[in-house]
Amino acid sequence: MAFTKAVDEAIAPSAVREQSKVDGDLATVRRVQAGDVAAFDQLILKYRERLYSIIYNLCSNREDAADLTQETFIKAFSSIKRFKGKSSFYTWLYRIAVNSTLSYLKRNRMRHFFSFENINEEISSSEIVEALSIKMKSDKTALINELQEKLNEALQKLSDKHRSVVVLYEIEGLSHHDISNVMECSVGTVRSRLHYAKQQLQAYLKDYLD
Amino acid sequence: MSLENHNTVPKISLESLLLLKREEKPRKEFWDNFDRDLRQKTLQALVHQEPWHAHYWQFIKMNLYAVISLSAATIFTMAFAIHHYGWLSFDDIKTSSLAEVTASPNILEVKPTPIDSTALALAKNDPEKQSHAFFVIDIMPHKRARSENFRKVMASKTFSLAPAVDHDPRIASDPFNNKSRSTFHYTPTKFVHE
Repeated sequence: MAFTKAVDEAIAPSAVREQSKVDGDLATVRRVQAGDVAAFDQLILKYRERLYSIIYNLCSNREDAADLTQETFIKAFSSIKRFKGKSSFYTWLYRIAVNSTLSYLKRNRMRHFFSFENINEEISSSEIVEALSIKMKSDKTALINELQEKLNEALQKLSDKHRSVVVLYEIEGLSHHDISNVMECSVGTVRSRLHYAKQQLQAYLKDYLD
Repeated sequence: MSLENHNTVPKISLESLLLLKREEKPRKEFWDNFDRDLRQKTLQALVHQEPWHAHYWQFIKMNLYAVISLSAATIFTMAFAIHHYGWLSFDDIKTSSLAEVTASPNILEVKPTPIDSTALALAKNDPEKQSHAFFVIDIMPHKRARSENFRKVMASKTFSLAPAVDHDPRIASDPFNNKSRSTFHYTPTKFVHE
């Protein structure tokens, strides 16, 4: 009983935050649906970086990611009248982004290449890079570049569905429930895909792991 | 000393490595270009109305493999059906407009054709079916190919050329012997006067 109460208390603030975020989005969406086109700019401004990040981590190509992010916003804008508010706006938007990206990757499977994004310089002072630098006995800059390449390679070796789950959960921090909404599958499927994907990644990246 | 190192150096897990991916971000200038491009593309999308068939093409493109498989299966099935059963010609369909006539004595000039070699001979053991079958075959031009005869009988409205009276085998086997009681549905084009 005490445990349940503690869990409820821990969850409550984030749940309230999520709810207010959803309500805020919904109000903006209703304005767009009512004809206030400028209100859509607020949604773009709010979600563009997260959307770009998801798409970039799915395709590992910055130019494609930029195009696909724009395409996602255009698709969302043109079909916003069909958004009924049954799910939260951001899961609806993420679903468009993931589906567009996976379709794009399927179409261009044969001519897919990497184009990496810049890495924040502050990363070199992070604990994990320090630890890796000691472990691998290599220069931090070289290590970061190598690690970026290996991480992207490892992610691209996963199937599209497994990569999507890893990106949404481990990198973007979405909950299992949200991912199940985005991917239109059950929470159990999300968990099993995540488990399998992490096993695969651990095998690919075993040289860097403790 | 080594124990001290072990305590201070964080454990490198897969999750912590993946978190490094969050640091791959575009610079601020990128977003200026992004917004400009997006605005242009949005305007283009507003101006450009997709034709109605674009959605169908998009659907076909998205489900290309399914569409190809389905088309191949349909073509195969049709080819198989045509090879085995042939085309159902429009002449056969035209015969569906039936004329009700009374058989004249002239029709007796139609010479019966043996049907031993046709598929309808299979009905030999059933007197009722046999008479019916004989009558149909007798007045129909038949070809050498068994399948063609069979098809002609099955597809043709001439199949209704059974005596429109009772099922007396004697009448059925020679339906023209009783003019007053032999009213038939028939297709004139099917008669052959040899």
